[in-house]
Amino acid sequence: MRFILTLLIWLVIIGGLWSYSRQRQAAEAEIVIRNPTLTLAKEVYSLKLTPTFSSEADPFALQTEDSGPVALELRLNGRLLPVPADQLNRGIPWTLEGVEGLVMGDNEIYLAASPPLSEGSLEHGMRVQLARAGVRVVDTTLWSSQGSLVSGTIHFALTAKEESHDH
Amino acid sequence: MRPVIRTLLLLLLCSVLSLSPLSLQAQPASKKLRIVTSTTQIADFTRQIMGDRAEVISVLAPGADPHTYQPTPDDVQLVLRADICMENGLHLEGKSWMATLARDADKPLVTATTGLAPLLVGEGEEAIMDPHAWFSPRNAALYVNNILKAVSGFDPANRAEYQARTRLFLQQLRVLDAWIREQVSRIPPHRRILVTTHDAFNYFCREYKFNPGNDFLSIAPVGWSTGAEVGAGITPERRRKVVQSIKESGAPAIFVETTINPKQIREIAQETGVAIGGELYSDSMGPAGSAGETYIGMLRENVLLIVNALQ
Repeated sequence: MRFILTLLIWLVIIGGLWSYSRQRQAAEAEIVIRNPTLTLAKEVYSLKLTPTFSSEADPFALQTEDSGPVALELRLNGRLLPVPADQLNRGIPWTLEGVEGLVMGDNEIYLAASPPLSEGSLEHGMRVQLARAGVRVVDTTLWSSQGSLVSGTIHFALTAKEESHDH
Repeated sequence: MRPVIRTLLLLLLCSVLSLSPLSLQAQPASKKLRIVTSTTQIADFTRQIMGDRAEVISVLAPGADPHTYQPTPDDVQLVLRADICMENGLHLEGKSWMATLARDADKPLVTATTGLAPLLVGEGEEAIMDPHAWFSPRNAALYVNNILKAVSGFDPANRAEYQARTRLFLQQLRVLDAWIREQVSRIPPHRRILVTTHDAFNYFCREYKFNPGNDFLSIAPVGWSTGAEVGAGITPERRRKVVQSIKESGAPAIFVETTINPKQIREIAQETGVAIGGELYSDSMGPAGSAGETYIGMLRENVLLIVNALQ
C-alpha cells in the first residue's frame, strides 16, 4: 500500500513539473518579436564631410585580420559606408553621392576620425552635411579635444512630407 | 523503512531536483581561458581585451625585475595549466625564461612585440634591440593589436567582443599619448633631462623629446638590462658619462626605479648635488591598489613625477 502511495506522489510531482515547464515554453513561444517595417528613402541624398585636418596613418587604430588601420569610420544606421581614408584633406570637402541605407523616420550617422597625433594639442573637427537635391537635411560639426578622436552620433528624421515638398 | 521504499524516495528526490525550475533555467557556464603572461604590463593589456572571459595571471609580481627573474616550480605549474602564454620578447625576459616555460609545457606562446621596429642601443656589434617598447603608448597599441589577433584566433566565437574592448582601450591610449605631450610641454626643452637607474626609458625619451644631448635616448648608469647580458649592468665608463651629463645639462633631478635597487642613483645624486625626483615605475607596474596598478596609471604617475621635478 505504502509503495503505491509513494509511486502516486512521485507521479503527481513529476507530472506537475512537466506541466509547468510545458506551459512556460508555450508562453515563451507566444512572444513574437516583430521587426519594424522600414521604408527606404526614395530621394537621392549626398553626404559631405569637411575635416579640419588631413588624414594620416593612425598608430592607435584597431587592426584586425580583415582590415588594417582605418583613419575614418562612417556608419549609417549601423552599416559601414565606404570612405576614402587617404583622401581626407584639411578644409577640402569629400562628398559621397547617392547615400544608400537612409530610411523614412529616424536615422543615425556615426562618425569617428583620427586627427594627426602631432596636432593632438589642437581642437579638430569634421563638418557633416547631408543634402537632398541641394536642400540641407543635416549640418553638424563634430569636435575633438586633447588628442581624442573626432567622433559622435548624429540623429535626424526623414519624413514623407518633407520628401514630397521638393517636387 | 524498507529498502525498496527508501530507494524509491531517493529516486523521487533526485527526479524533483533535476526537473526543478532552477535547473531548467541554468545555462552551461562557458570555460574561462587561462592566460599566463610574463610581465604585469602584458597582463594589463590582455585584461583590457578579454574582460571577464579570461583569467589572466602574470608570472612576475609587481615590482619584480624581468631581466634577472628565475622561474620557480610554481611558475612551471602555472604555465602547465595555461591555455596561452604571452611574453614581451626582445630578450626582456632574461635568458628567455618565458619562452622556455612555454616550450617545456608545450603551450602556445605569443610575443607581444612582433612587428615592432625596435630602437637599437649600443654601437656596432654590441648593438642591442631595446625591449622596453611599452614606454611609448603607440608601441603599446601594437602590443594590444598583437594580443587581440592572438586571442581572436584562439577564441573566434568572441572575436567581436574582444575587438570592441580593444577599440575602447586604443582610444584611451591615444588620449594618454596626447595628455603626456601636453604635460611634457610644461617643461622647457632644455630642462628635459631624464636620468634614471637603467636604460629603460629610451622609447619614452625618443617619443617625448627628452635628453636632446644624448640623441633623445635615456641617460642611466646601468645598461639596458640589470642582468649579465652584453651591454647590460653598470660600468665605470657609463657611470662617469652619467655624472658628466648631469653636470653639463644642469638636470634639476634624477630618478630611481621601482624594480631596481636605488643605491647607484642615490650615490650619483649625492656626488652631483641634484635631488631625487621620485620613484618611477619601469619594468613592472605597481601593486594592486596603487596608482600604478594599470598601464595607464603607471605612465600617468611617471609623467606627473617627471614634470613636477623638472619644470
